[in-house]
Amino acid sequence: MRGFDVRIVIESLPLLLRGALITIQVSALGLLLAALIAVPVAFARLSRSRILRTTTFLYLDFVRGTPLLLQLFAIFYLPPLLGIDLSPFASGVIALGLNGGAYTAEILRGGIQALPRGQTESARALGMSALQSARRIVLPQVVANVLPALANESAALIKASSLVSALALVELTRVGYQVVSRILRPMEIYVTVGALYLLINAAVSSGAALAHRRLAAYR
Amino acid sequence: MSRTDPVLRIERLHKTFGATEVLRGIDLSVGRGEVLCVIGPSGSGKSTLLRCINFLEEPTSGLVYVDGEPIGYRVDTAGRRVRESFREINRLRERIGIVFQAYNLWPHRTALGNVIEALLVVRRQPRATAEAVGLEMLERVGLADKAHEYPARLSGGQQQRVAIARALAMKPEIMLFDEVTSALDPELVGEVLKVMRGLAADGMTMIVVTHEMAFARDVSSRVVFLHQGKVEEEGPPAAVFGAPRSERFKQFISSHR
Amino acid sequence: MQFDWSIVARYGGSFVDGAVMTLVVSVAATLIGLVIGMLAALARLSPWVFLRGVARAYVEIIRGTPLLVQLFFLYAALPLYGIRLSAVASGIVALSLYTGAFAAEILRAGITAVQRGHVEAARSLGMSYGQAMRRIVMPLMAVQVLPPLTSEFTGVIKWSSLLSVVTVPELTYTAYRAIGETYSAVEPLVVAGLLYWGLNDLVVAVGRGLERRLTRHLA
Repeated sequence: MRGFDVRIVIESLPLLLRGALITIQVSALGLLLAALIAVPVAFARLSRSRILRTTTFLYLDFVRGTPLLLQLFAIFYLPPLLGIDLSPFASGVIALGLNGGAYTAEILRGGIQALPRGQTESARALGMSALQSARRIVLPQVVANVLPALANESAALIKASSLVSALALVELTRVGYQVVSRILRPMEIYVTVGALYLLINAAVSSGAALAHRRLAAYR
Repeated sequence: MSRTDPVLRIERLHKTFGATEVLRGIDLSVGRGEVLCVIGPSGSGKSTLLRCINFLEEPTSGLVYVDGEPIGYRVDTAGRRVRESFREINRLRERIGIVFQAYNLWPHRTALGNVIEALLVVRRQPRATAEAVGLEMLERVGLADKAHEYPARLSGGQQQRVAIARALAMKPEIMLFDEVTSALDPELVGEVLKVMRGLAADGMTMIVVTHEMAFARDVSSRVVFLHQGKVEEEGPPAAVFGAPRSERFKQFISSHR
Repeated sequence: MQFDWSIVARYGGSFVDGAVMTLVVSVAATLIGLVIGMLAALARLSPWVFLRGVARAYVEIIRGTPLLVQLFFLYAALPLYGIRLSAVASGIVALSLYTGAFAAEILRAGITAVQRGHVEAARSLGMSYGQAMRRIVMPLMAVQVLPPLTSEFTGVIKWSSLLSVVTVPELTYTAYRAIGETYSAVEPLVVAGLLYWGLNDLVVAVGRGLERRLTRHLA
């Protein structure tokens, strides 16, 4: 039984931090893509058009009903058949964006349906277009209301980014794995890796808590 | 434990919640077959008193004796309170029945199921025996025909009567009633009070916390007026209502016509 | 693009085996996870600070770090302490601990949601804590925790895909192997995807049916 050697932690920290940076990058871009996808999908899911409703439902049901790892493989292995080669980083961002976008869309949809109908009605009655009322009235309130769920989803996405290590992307988990294969100290390394993920998530959730407080007026 | 011992004796009961002292020294005794009504403004500690009796709340100091036995504590040789085991407390709890304001019927059991649950699990009676007792109790509260209905299908008054039957099934020596009609629609209050009058007439020892002054006047053998955690007035209803002594009590009665 | 659907026939048996392994692992992990979760929930509600602290630490750490890291950690660290588990066993252990942390929070919320009055009535009639727990609290909370636990189970099915990374022969591993052996990605991914999707929808449907049955007379 070996004791916990803090020196190993200190020595491998620079390498791990570089991996953490990649994790943050791929997660941030994935979150951005997820947000861009989620908003139109959420509204499409509630639209009057049956086609829109069904297609978005199928997308959501499929993405939320199959493993992210499988989706990641699909995004990595399928585009080359169409002549598009995606790097592990790009595949990661797209897969996380599509997956996170589906879950976020459902969160937003719940929030939109929970908003009192009067909000949209008063906006339209004043002459605002559907797009304007969505952007200026509905969305700000919905986001403020579902912020805790969105923060939760962001944390899940950051943890999910660890899966991109399966495509050999050198993010935090992969770096950890490589270091452990070399120096055989899983305890010290994986504990540090875990601690780094906890730190990243803590930063995100305190940011979300701050935003939640600032947006109190919107709720 | 002679037959002339009080069934319930409360000695110097104090109860503090955090920074607030709710019960400030209660001394009471209740004899067999007595119906004691506890009245008073909200916040006077009536519910807390009841909950201390069956140890749902732990008294900060003082003792409650059921048939001479202290509940929740033993008194050791040096005369100090020593905490009892939960098993002991449960044993004594079987002798005290309590009916709550919120009835608290278990939604996943039928009326009969509610009444016999404790008989099956605590007294370990065979189902046939328990059901016979259960039906008898439901008969007594006038609900034998609803034995197989679930609480969701019963009115508030009916649910409260089932709750009474549930407590009675354990054949307790004392029945505690915690504002059992306060949550009911006015039309339903009567049926519950009728059951309670019946119990009193049958000789059950009862402690009733209530706002129903008419009931207190007609049915109780003794009335206790609680104010800010202390007993302000005590005595037979005729004396207490007829010749109130304290100002506060006079105010209380006039606002609770 | 050429599709060779004979792959489906050739690998059909392996895919079925993979799906069975996925189910076995998921069911085992969910059941063990429920037990762990119940213990953790009770610990968090217990009057002893130490127990509450340990349970809380368990829940926060497991929920805040990626499953993949936990999987790697267990896989690498256990042998160093003399515990030699097969890939499947360590996979089930990791998955059980992961889902147990989530189940703990679901169950804790369920227990506290059962109205105090019901428990008080039970205790007042002389029932012990254990009896009140078993006969009153658990049945009443079952209705409340069923939806989140059903989605927990579908989550476990998807998370089980990570076990492919440590060579457990479940469905994703089978797909990955088929891709490697046949050099075609589409067919294996489609088959695996459909199988996961179908499994997911089946569990959701069964869960809803159970929910309806349980709430029949609770109104």
